[in-house]
Amino acid sequence: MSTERIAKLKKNYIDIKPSICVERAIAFTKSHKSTEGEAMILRRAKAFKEVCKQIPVTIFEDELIVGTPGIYKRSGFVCPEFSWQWVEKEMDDFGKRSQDPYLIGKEQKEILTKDIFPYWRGKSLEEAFLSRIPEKTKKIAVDTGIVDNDSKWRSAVGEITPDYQDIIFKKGFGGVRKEAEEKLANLEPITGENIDKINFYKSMVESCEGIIILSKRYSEEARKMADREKDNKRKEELLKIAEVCNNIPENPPLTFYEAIQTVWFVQLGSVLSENSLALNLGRFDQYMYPFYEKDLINNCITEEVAQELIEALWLKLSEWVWAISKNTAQYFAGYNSFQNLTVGGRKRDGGDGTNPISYMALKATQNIKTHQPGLSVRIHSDCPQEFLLAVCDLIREGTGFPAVHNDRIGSQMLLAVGLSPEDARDWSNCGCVVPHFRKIGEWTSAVNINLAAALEYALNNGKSRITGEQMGLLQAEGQNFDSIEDVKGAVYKQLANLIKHAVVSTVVAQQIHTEMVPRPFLSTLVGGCMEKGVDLSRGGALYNVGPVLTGIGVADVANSLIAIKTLVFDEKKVTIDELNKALDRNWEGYGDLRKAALESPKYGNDIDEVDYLAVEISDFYNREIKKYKDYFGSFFNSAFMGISNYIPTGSVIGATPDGRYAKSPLTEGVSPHAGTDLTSPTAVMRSAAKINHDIHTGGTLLNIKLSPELLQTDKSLVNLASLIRAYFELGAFHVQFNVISTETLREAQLNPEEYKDLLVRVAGYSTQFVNLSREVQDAIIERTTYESI
Amino acid sequence: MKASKQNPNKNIKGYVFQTQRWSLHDGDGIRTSIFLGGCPLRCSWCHNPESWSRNSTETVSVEEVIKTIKRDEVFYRASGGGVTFSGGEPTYQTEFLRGLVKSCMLLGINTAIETSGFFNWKSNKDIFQMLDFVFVDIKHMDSKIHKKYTGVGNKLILENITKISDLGKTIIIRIPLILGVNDDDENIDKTSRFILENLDIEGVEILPYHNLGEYKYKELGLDTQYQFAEPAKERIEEIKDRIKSHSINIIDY
Repeated sequence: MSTERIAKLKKNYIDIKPSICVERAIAFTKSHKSTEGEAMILRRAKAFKEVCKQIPVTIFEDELIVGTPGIYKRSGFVCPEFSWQWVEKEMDDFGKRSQDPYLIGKEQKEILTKDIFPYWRGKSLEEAFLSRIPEKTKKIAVDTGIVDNDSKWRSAVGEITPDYQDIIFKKGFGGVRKEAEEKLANLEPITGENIDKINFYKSMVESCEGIIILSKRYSEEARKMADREKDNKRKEELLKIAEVCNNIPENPPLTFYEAIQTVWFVQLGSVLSENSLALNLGRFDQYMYPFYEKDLINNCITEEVAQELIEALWLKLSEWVWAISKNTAQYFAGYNSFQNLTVGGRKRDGGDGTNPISYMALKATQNIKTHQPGLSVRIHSDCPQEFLLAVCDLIREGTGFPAVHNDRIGSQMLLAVGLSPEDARDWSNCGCVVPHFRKIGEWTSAVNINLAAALEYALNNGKSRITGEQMGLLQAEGQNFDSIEDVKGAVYKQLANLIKHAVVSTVVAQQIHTEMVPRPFLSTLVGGCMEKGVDLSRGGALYNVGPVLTGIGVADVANSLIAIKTLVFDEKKVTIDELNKALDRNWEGYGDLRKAALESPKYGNDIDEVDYLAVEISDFYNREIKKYKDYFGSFFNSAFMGISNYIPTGSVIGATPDGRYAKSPLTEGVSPHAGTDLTSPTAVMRSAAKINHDIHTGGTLLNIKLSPELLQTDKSLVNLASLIRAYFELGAFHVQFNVISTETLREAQLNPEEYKDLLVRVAGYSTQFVNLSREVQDAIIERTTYESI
Repeated sequence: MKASKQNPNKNIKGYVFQTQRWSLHDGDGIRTSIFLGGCPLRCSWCHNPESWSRNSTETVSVEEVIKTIKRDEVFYRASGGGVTFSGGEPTYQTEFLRGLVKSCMLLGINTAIETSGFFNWKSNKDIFQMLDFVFVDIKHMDSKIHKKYTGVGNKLILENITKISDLGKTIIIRIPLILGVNDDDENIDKTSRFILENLDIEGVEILPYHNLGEYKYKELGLDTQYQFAEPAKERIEEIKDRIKSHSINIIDY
């Protein structure tokens, strides 16, 4: 049970609708107007500092952890330097859209229209990207649902893990500033490289000053409020807040309280610097435990107090809103900001790192059930069974948390992209299911590639079945489909073409990012930038890992290929031409054929014949991607992870040979297609584990839905733990469970008001079910529920 | 592989009417349940009447069944699970069952059986020696009533249960609880006394009658001779307490 304060704060939080705040845009724009002509990195650092100076400072009732990016309790905000056009186009409908609506006031809209948009016209990242992307790539990669990287040019990148262990908790921002000043003292602007470095270190100084100013303003505000406060208990709390915010984050934290407030200031600074997703929290239990231990020894904390502070942080992480376009919201549904937080797992020396904070993090999510942070756990062979059972107990709650990861495979993935063995053991999760580290620069979700499109173009001479437009490659002269191998060959050719366009759109975006949107504040947080004197956007991190290209619909393509093999080549029930006709007509008039298609083997039932097609497709995808290097010379990476991307990607694809209807959803990650995994969870796991997870270094995702009746007894919990251990023994990377009855979900659709806090796992993350659009809700309900007979 | 480690019975064929992976209620851990067709009993409350006749499905070889069983080996190892042979009455296909159990034993896969106890001891003894875990029913202590509702008396069954217990196997006695048939205090007490006097068991599992199988009778064109009602929760608890009062464990899978 949470404390009364947390319960109250939580109630407050679920009752409030997100609103768009324009304060950040005002201050940021004002600064930019006054810095024309200066180096972009310095302009962005100065603008950040201006935001820290100008943004209203608000301490809400009863709060212990303070700091908000906007004037509302649940604020979203606009970053016009990335993209303002979608805001202008969509803001009148913000309140009405089905996925992730926001409130926006008339006054705010006026400010945006009059003062903000006119300045940024022609200057935003979006406009630069659209003017530079080659026409051919644009046709397939802009708002098509085929190759999609709009989150890399309509918004900021995010996707970082702050280095608390070696930077923030060690030096504080005061220490970082001092280090940058020392570097500056030894640099003369006598070479181009030196000039860049000077600008970089100056921007580091500005950024550190910015975040320190912001915390001092909170300290001051807390003191003022304390002066006015009548209630003695609250007065004391406010004075404590004043003291904490005066010391950190300028100095390294001394106590657990200071450490946790530092973590929130780091999040807040990151959010204000670029409003992005996947600002991860790294290995929370590892860097927080020393403070907890010390406070316990010094008798200045109790478990209850620490638990309350952790839950207060959880609420803070959930309050702010990543404001995104309607299109992006389809891919990242549920007001989700993907702030991933990892607990459990091995330490740098290989020993088990589970500690009391690991359990308290699980308990915090269990207690307050907020959609943030995205809680991830690392499980390894020597992980205490008690911890795994606590994980299973949380799974039983049905929040979809935590995401369960195979510790060993995560390390293996990071070794494969060049980390040292020690660093590879020290991994944490980024965003959805990407193994990451606090000294890595990487676009962990660079592009979504629609694999079913490759299949559609292969069968349909490069044309979209829905629009009839020529999107893929034309069929080669004299190319016939005489065997399933011919079909596969054509699919791979189309897929290779899609991958090439994904690479083009990524490299173009990367280059523009280095010019237009350097990331000085985030560069203070990521290991390597200070040492190199290079901004994160320019490859400053210690490790530059290549962008991740996420494939969507591996199950759909495998199921379709096996259906073609069975129906066309083995049983000769239908010719390719006739099948194409059936697909063009969305199976209308082809009921029997569709039935046969549905009855052909399906991935997810431990049937080797179809499962190994999925393996072949995913292996090909990886090999093809590995042919390309990014802007910094790092190899691209493959992934099969879900966000809610399987819905928009499905909506642009016609009927598929596996029996799927046109426009219906594809499949997330390495999961089976919804409703086709009829054998058992063990069969699903065996199918999924056949995929070579270790080579897909951008992560893989398996979603399994269990009905709660299966998890009622202690014994069943032990069996769930064994299920997870066995899945990992098979070499798989990640699994998450939705433990909710279909009845509950239908009930929630009917009475959303009563189910405001019902959390479900959408794909790579959990969010409030009632905040999802009807389509997503239906897709979740459709996922197979296992009932024990 | 040495000749002695090979199972000579792997080509034997038999009838399997259902295979269920991720079975959690028929023994420890994660299990695969293999339902063998054919049964010498005709219990009026049976919810698997399709299993009575063994010829309703195609035959499969021991090797093929073992292939399916092996699919989830990693899950058995992680959970302490294994295979449960159920039915029908699995001993009804003695040679087939022997082949399956022996193959599992050689692979180190834990085996359990769900049996009515109605079989020829001599021809099945070696199978029970190989099995790890036995679920066996005591449906009624009165042989006449037993015969009325199941088609056979209970003498052979009670003898076999005693012999299984003498082998030192882990045993769970199951009582399918049928209102008006075996739920009276007298029968419960008699059952308890039989257990205490003759057996060494882990405990008793009560399986209350449910009518989820009724529709199958219609589908198969079978007559339902008797109608049964589902016992009330309170009555189930009373009976459990009564058995416990004899110092016998109650177990729920």
